[in-house]
Amino acid sequence: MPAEISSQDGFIAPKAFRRTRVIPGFTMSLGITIFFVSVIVIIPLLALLMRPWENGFSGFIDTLFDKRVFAALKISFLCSLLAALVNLFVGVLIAWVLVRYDFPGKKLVDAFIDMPFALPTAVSGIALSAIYAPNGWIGGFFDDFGIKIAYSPIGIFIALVFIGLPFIVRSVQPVLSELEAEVEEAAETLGASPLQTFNHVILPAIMPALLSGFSLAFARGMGEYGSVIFIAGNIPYVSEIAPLLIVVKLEEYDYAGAASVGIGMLMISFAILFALNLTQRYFAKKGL
Amino acid sequence: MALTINNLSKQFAGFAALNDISFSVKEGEFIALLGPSGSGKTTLLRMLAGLDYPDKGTIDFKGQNYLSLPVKERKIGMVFQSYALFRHMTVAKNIAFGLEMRGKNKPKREEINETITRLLKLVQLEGFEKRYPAQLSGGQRQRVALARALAINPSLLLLDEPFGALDAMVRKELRRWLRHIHDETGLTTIFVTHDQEEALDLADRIVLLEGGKIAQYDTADKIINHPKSEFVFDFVGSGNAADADIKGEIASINGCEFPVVNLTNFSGRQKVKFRNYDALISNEEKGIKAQLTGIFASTGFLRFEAIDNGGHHLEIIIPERNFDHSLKVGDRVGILPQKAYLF
Repeated sequence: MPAEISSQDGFIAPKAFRRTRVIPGFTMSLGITIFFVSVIVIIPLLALLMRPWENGFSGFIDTLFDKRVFAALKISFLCSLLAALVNLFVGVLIAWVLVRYDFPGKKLVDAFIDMPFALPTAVSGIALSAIYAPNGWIGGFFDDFGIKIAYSPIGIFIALVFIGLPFIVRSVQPVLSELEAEVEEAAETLGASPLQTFNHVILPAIMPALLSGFSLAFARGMGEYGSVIFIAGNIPYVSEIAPLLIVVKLEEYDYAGAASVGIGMLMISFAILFALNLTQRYFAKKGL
Repeated sequence: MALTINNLSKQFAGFAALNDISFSVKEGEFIALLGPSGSGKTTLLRMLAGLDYPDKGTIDFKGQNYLSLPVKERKIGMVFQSYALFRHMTVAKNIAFGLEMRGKNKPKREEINETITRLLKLVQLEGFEKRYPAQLSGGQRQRVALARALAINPSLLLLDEPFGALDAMVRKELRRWLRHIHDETGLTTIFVTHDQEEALDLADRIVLLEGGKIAQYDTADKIINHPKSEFVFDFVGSGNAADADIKGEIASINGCEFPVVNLTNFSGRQKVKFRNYDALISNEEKGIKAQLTGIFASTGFLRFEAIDNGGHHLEIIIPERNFDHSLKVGDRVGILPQKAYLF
């Protein structure tokens, strides 16, 4: 006979009746979350914000708009933006091929996509400069036409394409594989051309993932250091990136200057993520 | 004939998905492609839609060679089992999709809106224009998918297991409603199902497929009462087998005589098959001697399980009001077939 459950005062539900979750304790897990986010993310960022004011606000502005710093920020920004844009197209194509087609060696290709994630950035940097330098395979080929890849912004751009690719591929891939082939077939039977199907059916479906992949690749490109500095050549005003300038300033014991560049980069990254969030919210409203 | 299919064959990696399929469909007919999984029914439907291509054979639709037309020019309304709705579009936009994609031939805005309203009314989803597919139930989604397929004013409606993902109650309801829509629009309709009840209940004629071949192409009545092969007999309902002495058109088992349908030139002792509802149970020592192993209640029927002296299992269903309440599990009974088939 099942136990009777009474709703009288003083009734305490047996333990099995209480709702439990896999990870126990709302208070404890929330506490750990807040503690970690504070210690690992927020406090260091605040510390950065405290740094550059040694020479006052004007000192901060002067550093930020110093010709060399401004040029470095500009190069970092433009190269990351361009690299992320190129990856946007190539990344979707690669994700598409990996999801929709079967070919020998597919698993290997799939594994190689993660290489830029897994490789120590300095290793990627050395590898890239080895082939793109004027005496490398590819660099040598272009050098014959008078195009310098390494030690120019083109080199920075290539390193950032390399670094950013997995961000786009890995964010788009799962969404694409979730999109059944039947949806495309449905569009086809309704009279849509392949281009219309892509624009009206596939693109809107992968748009949120694409945006988040894009901004991750972009933000990562802004901050990328190890894989860029070898191939960039670090010529001031030409191929010097903002993260390198921070290191240079630190080596000169100009801590406030380094922090100022840091804040400049932080603002750019923050703006990127903010813009992303706004666009995502826009798409969420449209039911995606 | 609106649709004529001739000698259609298709091989998939060595196995014949379709093997020399030929049949034709009249204008406005409602046809079911029925068969177990792997019988080629979905492949056949996809060929009609242009999403698959045969190795051999022809498909002719009202004088047009369908195989020479790409998918988008066939004007086919296709409904998928997975609904295949566009998730980022509202119900209205899903329905309008086919019209919106017409480029220069796109109808006027008012015309599109009028179509949306008309179709939503037809599928009984008025007021759902602004919803997204995620906000609909399975049955509602499939109705939107049907409206979307009808919006392009198709010349042929194809449905691939349209109710496969729905629960029994909704299935049954949508089934009647689909038939109603078919009768209203008069569209030549072909739908794939593995559910024989659905096919028998809904279709004018049924193409019953077995291993890539047509086992029988007939009306429901013919398929049920005049199955051409043992496969057809077994696929559309449950039955029992027994050995009987055949003499002329009459079979007899142990003093119980019954007619044999579709008799050819058999005589002597043969295996006959009879439907579980084509038999009576008596407590006399007549017919197939068996022992009752179970009595189960169903709505309006009682289902008896028995085992004969040879160890074969038998299943008989009898309307509840005809039930002899003295029968109990373990009783020895005689099972009296009333009508049997010989293949």
